[in-house]
Amino acid sequence: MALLEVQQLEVEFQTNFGKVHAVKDFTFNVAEGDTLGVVGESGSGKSIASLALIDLLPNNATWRAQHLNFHRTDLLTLHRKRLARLRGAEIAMIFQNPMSSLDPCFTVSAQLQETLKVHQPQASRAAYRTKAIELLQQVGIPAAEKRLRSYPHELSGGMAQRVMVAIALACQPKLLIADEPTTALDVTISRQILDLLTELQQKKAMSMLLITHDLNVVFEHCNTIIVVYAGETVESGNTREVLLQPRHPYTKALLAALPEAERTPRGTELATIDGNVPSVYDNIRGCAFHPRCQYADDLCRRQKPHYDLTQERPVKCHYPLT
Amino acid sequence: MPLSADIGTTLLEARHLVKRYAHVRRGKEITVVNDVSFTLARQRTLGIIGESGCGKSTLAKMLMQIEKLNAGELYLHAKPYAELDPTEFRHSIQMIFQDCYGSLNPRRKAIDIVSEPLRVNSQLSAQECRQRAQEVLTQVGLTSVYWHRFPHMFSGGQRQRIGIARAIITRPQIVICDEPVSALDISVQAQIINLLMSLQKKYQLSYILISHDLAVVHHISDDILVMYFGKVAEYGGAAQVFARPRHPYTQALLDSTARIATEDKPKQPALRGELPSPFDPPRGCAFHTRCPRAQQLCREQVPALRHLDDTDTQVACHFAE
Repeated sequence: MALLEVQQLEVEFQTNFGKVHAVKDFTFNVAEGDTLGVVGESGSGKSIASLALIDLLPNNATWRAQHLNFHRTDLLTLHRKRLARLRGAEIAMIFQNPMSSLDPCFTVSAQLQETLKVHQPQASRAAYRTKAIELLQQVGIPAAEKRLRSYPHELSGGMAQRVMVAIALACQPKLLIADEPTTALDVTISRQILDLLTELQQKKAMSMLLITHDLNVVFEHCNTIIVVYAGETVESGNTREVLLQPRHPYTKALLAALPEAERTPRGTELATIDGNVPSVYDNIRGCAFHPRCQYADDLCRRQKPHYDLTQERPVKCHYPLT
Repeated sequence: MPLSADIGTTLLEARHLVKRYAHVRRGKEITVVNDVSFTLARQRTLGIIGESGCGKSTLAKMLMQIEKLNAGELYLHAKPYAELDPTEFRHSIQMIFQDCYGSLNPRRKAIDIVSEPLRVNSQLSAQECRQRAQEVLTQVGLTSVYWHRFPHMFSGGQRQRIGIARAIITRPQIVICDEPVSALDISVQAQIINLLMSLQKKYQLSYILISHDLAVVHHISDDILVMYFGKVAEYGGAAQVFARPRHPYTQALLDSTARIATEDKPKQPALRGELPSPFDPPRGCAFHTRCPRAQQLCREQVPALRHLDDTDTQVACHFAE
């Protein structure tokens, strides 16, 4: 049973330079209790798509979708106020840079309790405080009671990200969206945070959407994966299968470009993908990847490949690799 | 230009470098780089790894003479830094910066940015400087259509190419690369790594590569210097250090790095805790607060950097074997 169903999500921005089609076609499902990794390069629309899901897009953006279901609720027809109640309670989000996501003027305590107060307005002050301490303990912050009085600048990057996780988990969400949660952190701290997220996700039977550009992280922490390119989902499936036997030329090229001790001995030239990620202003006919694809032919230049989510290993390519 | 005959001769030597900063309000001194020594040979790459706050960027600044040393000596071609002619020094060592957005002047065109080091550090005419700039820009893959553009008109990868062109225009022997690819996407990252490797071959460059991405460091480094809390934890040949890390911190770093592997390997538990505060440095081994193998001795005595019997690797750990 899918917790979140997204079909043909599109996001458009109205800018001074004309319309920008940032997300062209995102189609994916998140199963209950599953961890879905979303990988793509910068500009592929992965962050924008996640903002669209919880209606946090800026004013110059418009979005539409064929189908957008969350936990048997149709988000497309849901009233804005109902959606606002859903956001933070049922769907929570963690952002990339904990230092800029926390408000520097308020203590950890105030920021933790804000979420609780909004979504559970009837509880007592003491209850909020107890709950806040409990949340900090849950994310592994030592001396939780003392930390409540800290301001964000008194925390290290790792601690700040733990506070962000605590805030996100405050209302026991069914879906947690983590947008590059560890990009700003060091390897050892990044591993701690990812382990923490995985542990909490399993304990609370939560679903998680992990947005990242790091294929290695997805491999170790996600069951399912979708690969996005230029605003479109191009491949999805079980993480191991997709990353060990990619079917889309883009996924294969990305993997080949990674330096990896076993495959690419030290000092050898790395495989590259010719050209650049298309700009959001470009409108490419046919398959979005064809200008950089080594297998592209006339059909790819003319016609957009079809993406069928009902297949076991959906891939948006006329000539999927085997 | 000396040719491949002297590959392996020592170019740069650092002996017992120390950098301290005074924190005025707290009335304390903190030691950011503490007793770091290494050598860099011609056409070799030294990779420096460690978490943020371990002193690797400060070390780079000391090598560039952007920061003064509190103690220790630096030698270029066996000559102490103090005896070097400043112009000659700038010709010999150049740097590529991490932030390819912040390190290019937004008001100047690519060709002016790239030719500036020559204009400042050589007697060449403006015309000659521009000509050399055009050559190096072409070499890093930026054709004439790009020469007169401003930084904001370039993508991240192209900006990093401008940074590289600016560093190699003086024909340096040593280039210090501070996180050269960490801001880039995977496909672009591979292009820049390839470019760095081909330039190294062509000009017999020596690199000091600072990065937190172990896969990148592993791919292009000959030697590895692992730093923790301002000190050297492990120093040795890259193949040795990656295949058989001796220091528990190096082991933890390698274990923490996620990687795509065909076979399942049992995961070591994540390293506990964070870097200690420099205002309150731990007694004994700085790593003992997080080390899974710490014993009483580690809490009392600072481990000396020592050679292990069978290899060239140096390790600062009481119990490494």
